[in-house]
Amino acid sequence: MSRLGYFSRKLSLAALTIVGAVACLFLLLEFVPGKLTDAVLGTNATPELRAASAEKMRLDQPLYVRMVRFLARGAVQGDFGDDIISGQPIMGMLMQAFPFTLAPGVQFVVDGPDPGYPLGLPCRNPAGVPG
Amino acid sequence: MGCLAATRPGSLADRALGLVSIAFVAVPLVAILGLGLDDMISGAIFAEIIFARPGIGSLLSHAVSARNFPVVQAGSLLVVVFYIAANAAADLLAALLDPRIAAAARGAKS
Repeated sequence: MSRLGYFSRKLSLAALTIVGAVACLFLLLEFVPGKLTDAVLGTNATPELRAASAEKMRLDQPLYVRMVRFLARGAVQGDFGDDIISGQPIMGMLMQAFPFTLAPGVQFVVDGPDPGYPLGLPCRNPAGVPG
Repeated sequence: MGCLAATRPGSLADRALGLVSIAFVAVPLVAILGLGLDDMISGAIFAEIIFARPGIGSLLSHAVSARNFPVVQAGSLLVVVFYIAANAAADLLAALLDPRIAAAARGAKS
């Protein structure tokens, strides 16, 4: 029971951290110079075209609505929308790239302790005898 | 559990103690591996640019230079989720290996 409490506390803290990170991400991208519509259309687009593009990307909605929508669709359904340049689904792009990032990490966990343990174990001094 | 028995070096009992000793280093080992895995994932942004690996890091860096914000958001979220999951897994594994860790956290809270 005590362990279960510890586990649930750790896991809820982790979920809270993810929500905080997404909030930071959205705030950062909100205040960064340069508009998303400019990235898609270039700087010479007409105001009408720009407004239509903003509406399509739901940039006309308030920040917290977009954030909750992103979290709900991304975290629950695994759908992050489409790439604004190539139009592919972003989830597919990420899943395609993730194995290349994960491979060195897995290799670190598997191989990291390997040379150290055979070398270190004979050196132990269980009885605490000096020398 | 203690390893304070005096054994003859190289004897069967001595070798058995060597295996038991792994239990003593398991907790710091798990902690270091968890943090190291985090570093491997977040450091991937630099490593993948240098070694031209088509992973999350290079995807993110290209998306940032193209101002492809949706990809930046989703990619960062994936890195964050992985980082936190690895950290939480290391914490939970450490608490499973050593019940004193969960007990200490409980004592500090109340």
